[in-house]
Amino acid sequence: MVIAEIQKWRITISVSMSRFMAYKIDFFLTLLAPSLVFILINYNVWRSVYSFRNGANIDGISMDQMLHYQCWAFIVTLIVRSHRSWNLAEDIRLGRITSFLLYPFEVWKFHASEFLGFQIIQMATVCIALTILRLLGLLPELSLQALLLGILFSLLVSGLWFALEFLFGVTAFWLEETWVARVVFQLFAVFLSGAFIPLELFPPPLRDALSYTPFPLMTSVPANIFLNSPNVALASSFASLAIWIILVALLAAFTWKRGVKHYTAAGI
Amino acid sequence: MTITRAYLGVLGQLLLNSLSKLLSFRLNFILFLFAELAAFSTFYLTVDFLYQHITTVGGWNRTHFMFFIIWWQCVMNLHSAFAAPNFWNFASELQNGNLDFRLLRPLGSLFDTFTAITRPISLVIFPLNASLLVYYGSQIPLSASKWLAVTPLLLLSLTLTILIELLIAMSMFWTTGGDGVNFIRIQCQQISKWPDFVYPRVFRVAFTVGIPILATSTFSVRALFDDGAWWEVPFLVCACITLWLVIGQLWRLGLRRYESASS
Amino acid sequence: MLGSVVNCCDLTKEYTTSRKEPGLGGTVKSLFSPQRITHAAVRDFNLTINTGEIVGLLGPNGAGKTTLIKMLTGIVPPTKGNATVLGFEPFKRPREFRKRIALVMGQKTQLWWDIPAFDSFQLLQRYYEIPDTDFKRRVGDLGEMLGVTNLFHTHLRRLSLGERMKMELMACLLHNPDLCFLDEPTIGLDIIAQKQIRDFFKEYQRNHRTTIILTSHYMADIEALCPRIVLVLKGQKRFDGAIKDFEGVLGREKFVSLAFSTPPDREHGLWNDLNPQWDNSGLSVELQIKEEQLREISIQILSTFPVIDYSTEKLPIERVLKTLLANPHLLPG
Repeated sequence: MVIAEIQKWRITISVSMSRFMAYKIDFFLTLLAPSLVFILINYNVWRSVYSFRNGANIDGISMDQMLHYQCWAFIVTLIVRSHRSWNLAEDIRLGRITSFLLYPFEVWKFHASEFLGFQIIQMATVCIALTILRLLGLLPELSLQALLLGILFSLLVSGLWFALEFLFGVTAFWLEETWVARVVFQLFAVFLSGAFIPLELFPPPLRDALSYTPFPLMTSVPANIFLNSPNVALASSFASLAIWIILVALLAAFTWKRGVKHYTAAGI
Repeated sequence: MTITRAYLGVLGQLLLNSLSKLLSFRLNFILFLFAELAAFSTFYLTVDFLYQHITTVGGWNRTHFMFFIIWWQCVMNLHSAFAAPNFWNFASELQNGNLDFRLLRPLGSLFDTFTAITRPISLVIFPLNASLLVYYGSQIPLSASKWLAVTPLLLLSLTLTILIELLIAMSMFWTTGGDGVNFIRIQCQQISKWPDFVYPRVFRVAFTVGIPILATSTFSVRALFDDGAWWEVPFLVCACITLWLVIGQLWRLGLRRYESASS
Repeated sequence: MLGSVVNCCDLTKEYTTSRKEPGLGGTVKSLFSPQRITHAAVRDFNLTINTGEIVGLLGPNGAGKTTLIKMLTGIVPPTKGNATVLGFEPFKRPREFRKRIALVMGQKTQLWWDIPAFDSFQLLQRYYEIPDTDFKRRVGDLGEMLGVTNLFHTHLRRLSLGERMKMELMACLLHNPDLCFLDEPTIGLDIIAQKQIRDFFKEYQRNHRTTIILTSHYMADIEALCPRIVLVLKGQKRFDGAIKDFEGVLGREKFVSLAFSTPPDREHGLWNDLNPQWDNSGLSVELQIKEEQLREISIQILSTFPVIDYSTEKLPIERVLKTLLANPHLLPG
């Protein structure tokens, strides 16, 4: 029973990896382009801001610290934000989940396997990116423990994103276009997670308010773990991340159950 | 003359159909407004934050920078209303073979492919952006002649943006999947969202002379701020003409490769 | 005088595909060193079709029928050979040419999914520059013929497959094309909808003398509409002629069904060479008899056995096609 289940996961992961790689150039472009541009812009904007200040610190953060933070934020983005599960919404809208509903392997498992397959490939990209950044001298201090902890944390964050994406996808049972809501959320998430401006520079009241949300966990905390920053409370960060994942997953499962009852299987 | 009438007739009808579609999804209207506001406010806050720590970047003060951002937003509003959906559609039509119908119709197939879908909903925030543009423009302040140049320059920015993206989109004929190319396209928008002087020199030259991504918004805006930068306008016009010629060639070459997938 | 509408000479289309070994290993391998294979979807195809003809293209899936149609409509360029359609070279796709053809694809739709069909028709009116009065008349006529006038203002996504197909047909015929390509227009439809669409085309063709090229896997479509058929196998033309000649490709044979009051002797020499297919009870049999022997053998059977029912039919086209697909060597040439 368990073995059969594992086999299903294994084969789905393998098939989705093949699918990702079937469109070769496309695959590399979707995988790398957004992250590369992200680092290009962030790095250069901050570099020029500091150069117009003649290198003076901003709220105690030096140029080097800022640029290192941006590089790690890039690595975090590469791990957590590359997978796109847009197809769930599309499948629901066009009535394509019908066949999935009939398989003895639940829809969420298909998507989760696909996500895992993608993450496996993506980790190879992360290794290459790390090597390049290291060779360019952009990541001078690199502790193995911080590196492993950072990767582990980022992988968990990618799990949180997966649950969120699934939740957004499920709303397709009610909405004709789900990407708008997702884009709004992403915009806020990028801004409030410290992906461009480190949270240390946010006004303290806003920073306190954000600590009750999952946003800091999405970039700021993992980037600081990589940086081996003493300001990160490791245990509580892992715990709150776990709680958020469970909450969102439960919400997604609940919404899915409600949605399937709503399903009209358009187009068939 | 009759050809022009035919094209205009098609554009008019496309717009009507888009409106008809728009009205069938009312909830989207609110969501779109919200998305546009979110995009605007996060970027506004980012720049506002930066200017708390610096007074000028590349000779631009906060007002200049805000004018530039709003300019970019206006271009993007128009772009996502009239151009953006077609790039996604082109990618999927290439993959599922629905481009067939475009090739069969008796108007220019390039025209048909990239005007097929309009999304007027993206203009929902345009009035706000336009007002802000007027506000920051009067703060700079712009002279009367510069004000007259605003609309043509805005359209020039839009045209160049669309042409660059068309050039990029042509590569979809060779990559089979189109999502990656669309990602590159969006990344180009992100790059042009910042003025050219924040980028290192080599990059700046490559993305101005090579593919004029950085010129799209920076050049038109700088021509308004700085009389010495007048030559940037003819540069934009030349870039548009060159790109148009190259795109025409690539489209013809691409169609020879089109395999028209059967469902 | 009838002029030729379609004329193609040695038309060939080759596709290059990459081959991938199964599994993840194969995927990674093909990522770095793809194996390319070229195959001809259509090979050295010659075809002439005259004005007002209805021609059925027959062949199994992947035979090259759709590729042939795509070359004739100018959607894909041929690798070799040349074609003239309505006096134009299709792949140059001149405007005048596109205004005079139409293509219906049973598996694709050109109508907008999220708006009523009528809005899409109005858009097509602009594309084809159809004057308002003609447009109104044609929409009215076609809508009435297909019985869908009351559905014009319903969103396309709310229509059934059959209703959508009828709208699709309307969309393709609005500009009154001289040449119409129908690629499996009845696929997936129920038998009533299939028949309605067949009847529609019969009437439409009678009124307009439009040249029609039809592909379909439903033999009923072909039998009802096409006096002439072209058989395509592995990208090559293997038969081109009248449907009644196609029926006779395997020889002029008739199917004879007989029923008996008591089971006859199955070992009797009379049954030899008649390929008898007995039912389980042994009370009825189906025989294949050469046309010229029909009279003589029938008399012998009727006088020898207790026959209570007798009927004959010619070899149905479906059986001919099935036999030929399984044994292509039986084809002449």
